[in-house]
Amino acid sequence: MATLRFLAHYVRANLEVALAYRAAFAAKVFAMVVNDGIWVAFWWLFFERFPSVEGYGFRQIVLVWAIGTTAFGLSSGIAGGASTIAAKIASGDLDFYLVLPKPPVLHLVVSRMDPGGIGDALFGIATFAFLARPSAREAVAFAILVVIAASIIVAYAVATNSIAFWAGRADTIAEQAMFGLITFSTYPERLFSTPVKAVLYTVVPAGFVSFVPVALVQEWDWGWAAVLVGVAGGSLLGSKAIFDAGLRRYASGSILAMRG
Amino acid sequence: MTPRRRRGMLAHRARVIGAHAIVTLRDQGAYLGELALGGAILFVFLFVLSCLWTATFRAQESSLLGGLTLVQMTWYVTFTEALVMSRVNVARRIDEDIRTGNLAHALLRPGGYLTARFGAYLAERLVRFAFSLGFGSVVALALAGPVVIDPVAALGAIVATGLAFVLEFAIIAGIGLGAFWTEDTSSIYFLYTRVSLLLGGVLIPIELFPEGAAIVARALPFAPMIHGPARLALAPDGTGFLSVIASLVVSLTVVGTMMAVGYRSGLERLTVQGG
Repeated sequence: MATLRFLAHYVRANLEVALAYRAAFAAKVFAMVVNDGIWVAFWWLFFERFPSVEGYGFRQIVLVWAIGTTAFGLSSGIAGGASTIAAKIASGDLDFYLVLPKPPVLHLVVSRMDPGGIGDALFGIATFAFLARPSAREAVAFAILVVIAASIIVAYAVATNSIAFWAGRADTIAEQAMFGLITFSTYPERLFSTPVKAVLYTVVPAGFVSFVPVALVQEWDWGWAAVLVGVAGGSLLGSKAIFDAGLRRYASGSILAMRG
Repeated sequence: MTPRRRRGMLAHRARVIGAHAIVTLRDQGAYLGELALGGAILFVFLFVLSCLWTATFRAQESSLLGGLTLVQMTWYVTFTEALVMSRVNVARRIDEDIRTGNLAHALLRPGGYLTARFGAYLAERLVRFAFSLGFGSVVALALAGPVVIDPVAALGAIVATGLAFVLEFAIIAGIGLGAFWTEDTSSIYFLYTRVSLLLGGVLIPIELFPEGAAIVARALPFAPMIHGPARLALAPDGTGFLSVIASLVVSLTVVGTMMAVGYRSGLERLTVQGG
């Protein structure tokens, strides 16, 4: 509970900072909504011409995008700092977080909010409500599953960014890894062959971020739901373990800086 | 102005474009990391799109969609992706020059501000395009195999690509010049990249659009700029060349005029502060 209250305080503070520049905040949110809208428009064009591909129709792809954008939006909207860890490690900028009372990784991930993430999440929720036209059961499943998917995305960002502890500079690798996860998460699972799916359920966890949640929203399965919760919990603990292992190798940047 | 003086001015502008292009070409070596990131992104995109089109051809039980085979479709998206991924955000640079007042200093240099910007843009665009197309071709070759390219159609595609680069400069520079009037042009540029992705036929050829959407797409400059050169490169002969070139020339005339008018009226608003 204390951690949740801590997160809520950080989110509120980040939101207040972002809203200090309301026009810029609104522009970023709007830009992300347009970006997502263009992709859904592409799929609309596609399915107008080919109504069904590998059992997928427009409603299925809407679910893929609704869950994907909401989960990625929540992760970068609440924990946007996760994707900045590699750069902070490389510049020796972690010192500030090491002296704080809570675990440094927790401070790092919630230290920043990406307004584009808010746009993503708003788009995902609106798309789900208006284009997927869900039943009450689907809506409840959606609300739970996007939070679980978002936690897997945050864990993935922390793990890939932590490569910087060993590699020095890893922001480009982490950026590529996140781009790969986003791309694979926004296409239907059945497009990919078995070896590719094996990668998408392990190294690049698009399977757990998108494929399993989409299947669960359509048809609930307690077994797969338990697997998903287990994967999310394991990912969070695993990524924290990777970060902590890396942190033991970290050398201070000895930077003198003012923080407002 | 006498014809001789006009020829002299044009030759001078060409020299300015060339000089800025050479300097920019030399600079490109410093951005190899960025090119590598672009390569990884291109690989992921081409792989996923190849999976999508393979599944679509299988579902349709057809060997031809929109006049393209599966192999040609993979190469089509390779060409269109190379075209959009080689895009240079010259709008941001022009926006910065206007906002910081650098434009006033740049105007003092010989050859004209936009001419210099065009030279630098062209060099950077050519390097990025050569890399994207070269790397993309290797990926397409691995994913789908070789494609037959007609030499006349290829020549037409090269000419169309060149004109498309000029047209896109006029559009993007025009967006950057918007900084004379608006607070922030980056959101306009972002919107441009998204709309051109959809209406340029980057992911799906215009022939496969629903009829209404195809009419809209063909009326805008994005389709001749992206779909046009890519489709020409895969054509069995050069028959589509004239219509693509005509669309590009018309778009270039309209957009180029708008950019020139915007530039002139923008300069009248230029205020130099400090020294």
